[in-house]
Amino acid sequence: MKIEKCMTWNPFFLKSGTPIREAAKVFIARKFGALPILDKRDKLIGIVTIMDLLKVFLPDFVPLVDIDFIKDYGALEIQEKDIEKIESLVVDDIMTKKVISVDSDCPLTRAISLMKKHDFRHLPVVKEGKLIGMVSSTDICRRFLEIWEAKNKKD
Amino acid sequence: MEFISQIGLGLIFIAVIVTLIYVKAHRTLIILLASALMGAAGAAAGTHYEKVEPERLHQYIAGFIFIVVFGIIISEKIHRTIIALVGAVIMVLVGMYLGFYSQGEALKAIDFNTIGLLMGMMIIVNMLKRTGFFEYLATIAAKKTKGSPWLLMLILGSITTFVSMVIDNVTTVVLMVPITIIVAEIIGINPLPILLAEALLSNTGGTATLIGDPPNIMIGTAANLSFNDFLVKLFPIVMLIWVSSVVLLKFVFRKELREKPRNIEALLKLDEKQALKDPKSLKKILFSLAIVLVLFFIHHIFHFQSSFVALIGAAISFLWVRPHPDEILKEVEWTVLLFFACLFVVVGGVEKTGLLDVAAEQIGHHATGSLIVTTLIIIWVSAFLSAIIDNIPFTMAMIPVLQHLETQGINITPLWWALALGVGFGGNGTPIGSSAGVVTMAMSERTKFPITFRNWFKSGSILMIANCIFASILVVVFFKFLSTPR
Repeated sequence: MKIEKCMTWNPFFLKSGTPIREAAKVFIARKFGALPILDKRDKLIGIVTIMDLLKVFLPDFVPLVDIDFIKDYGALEIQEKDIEKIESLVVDDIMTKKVISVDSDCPLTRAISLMKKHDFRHLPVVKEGKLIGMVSSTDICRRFLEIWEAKNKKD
Repeated sequence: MEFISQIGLGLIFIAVIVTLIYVKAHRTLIILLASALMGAAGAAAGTHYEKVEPERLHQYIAGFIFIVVFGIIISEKIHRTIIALVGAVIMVLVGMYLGFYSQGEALKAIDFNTIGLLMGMMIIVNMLKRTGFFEYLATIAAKKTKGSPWLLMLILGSITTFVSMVIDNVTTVVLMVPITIIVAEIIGINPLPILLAEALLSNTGGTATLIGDPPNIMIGTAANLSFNDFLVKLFPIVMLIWVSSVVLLKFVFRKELREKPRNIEALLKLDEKQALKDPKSLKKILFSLAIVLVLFFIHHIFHFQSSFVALIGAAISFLWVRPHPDEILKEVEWTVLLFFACLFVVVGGVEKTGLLDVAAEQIGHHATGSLIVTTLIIIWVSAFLSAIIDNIPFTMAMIPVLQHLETQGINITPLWWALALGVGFGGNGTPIGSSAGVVTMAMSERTKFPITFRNWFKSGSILMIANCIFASILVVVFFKFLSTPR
């Protein structure tokens, strides 16, 4: 089974240089989990997930600490990290630059194994360097469900 | 004439390497060229000058290899373990060809007591740190201070010092610094003075015991000084200096430490019990560690070497906790252990040519005047050199020199202590002087108040000078006590 059977064609994307505030609006309004970023020549240069956006609000030192046992963050929680600095960020600052993409004839199992290996939930689909679609883990799951149901009906 | 051409050849060679490093040539190219040049130099020297004083020639060649290895280690352009390994291979090759060093002698030059002790302690510490014990300890301590910045610096600094006396300094700061940062952020104070205190005091703590720091381990083995010798002679001196260091740090950071903490309730709400990931294993490992410490106190009675004691501890905790060995062993710092082994081989080659006797003779000429003066010179020279270069190769090179001084009838016991104090405190002189400092500085870059070179010079460098002055005074006052062997 090929990926083009279950991907979203002509997906929504953001242009390089879009402020992250705009990206946030798109994430909320359209309930996307990840957005591809294209440059002026419509080349795929990155991908932004909603987690990339949320990470902006985390202080840099957080990954240093195993913070499971901290329930109350005290001054850390109420201090406002430089709002202006966050507002001035664009999608290019937070996106994943080494995008892993697949071709439209990529088999589903390869897409799943890539997602599992890199801990992604979204994969851009590319043909001759141009973005033609996006596929999410939900899309693939839906495809499998369709197959099962079709099979059940036959029986 | 031969010497001049030797030196000329050496200078050309160093120039080539330095140029290559600065034009950022590919590392492999540098290494290959360095090996080729060294081999060629050795071969040329061997065939051409052999009729003229071969021993002298061997000394120059071995010394030259040593200096180049040392230089590249300092430049940090190539990983120190790689260059030490390359240096060791070249030293053995050249030594075999010219006949001053053999493979067997190279193997004998490796001090397996130092390596075994480091490895044993690394195994125990790697098991211990997985239990969350250090987070637990730091959280309890932080809660006790009720958020006072000065008390936090004092108590977290003290924990760092005492932990560093038993386990290595880098591991200690890697475990203490994150929890310090989070505590400081929760109560909204500047973590900088506390982080600097931890980095600086971990080096101070490491100086106090036989197992606190690699240079002390090497000194202990070479001079046949036991854990108790360090405890009786060095520990009291370092503790006095530690008190003065804390007072000095309080003065240097008096402004930052006056900050008012906010949200102390949030700090008190931290549940240290949840930081403990594996209380069952923790008890077993702490018990094994206690056995190790007891054995260290009495190891000379059983004629146990210190490495054997550490390996007993590692064996007990492995058998008792029984984690998968892969998980523990992959965190043992093999690169450090290999670096040690290779450096021992390089220094061993130099030693075999007798070059270090020459150096010792030179120092011996000056040392005959007054032993106290020599002791003080060793403290200060070691401190300043360790502030700039890695204290491990420095100590390794100094040890045979001191040993040769002994053959000239000089009482070298106080010199060992001087060397330990000098390299221990010297690491605080610059941010790059000790690995604990480098690691702390890197981690502080993730906070709003990263440690800058200026912060460091304001506290660390002053501390180093003050420590050395205080150490010099104490060494002079207790000179007789320090001079008695054992």
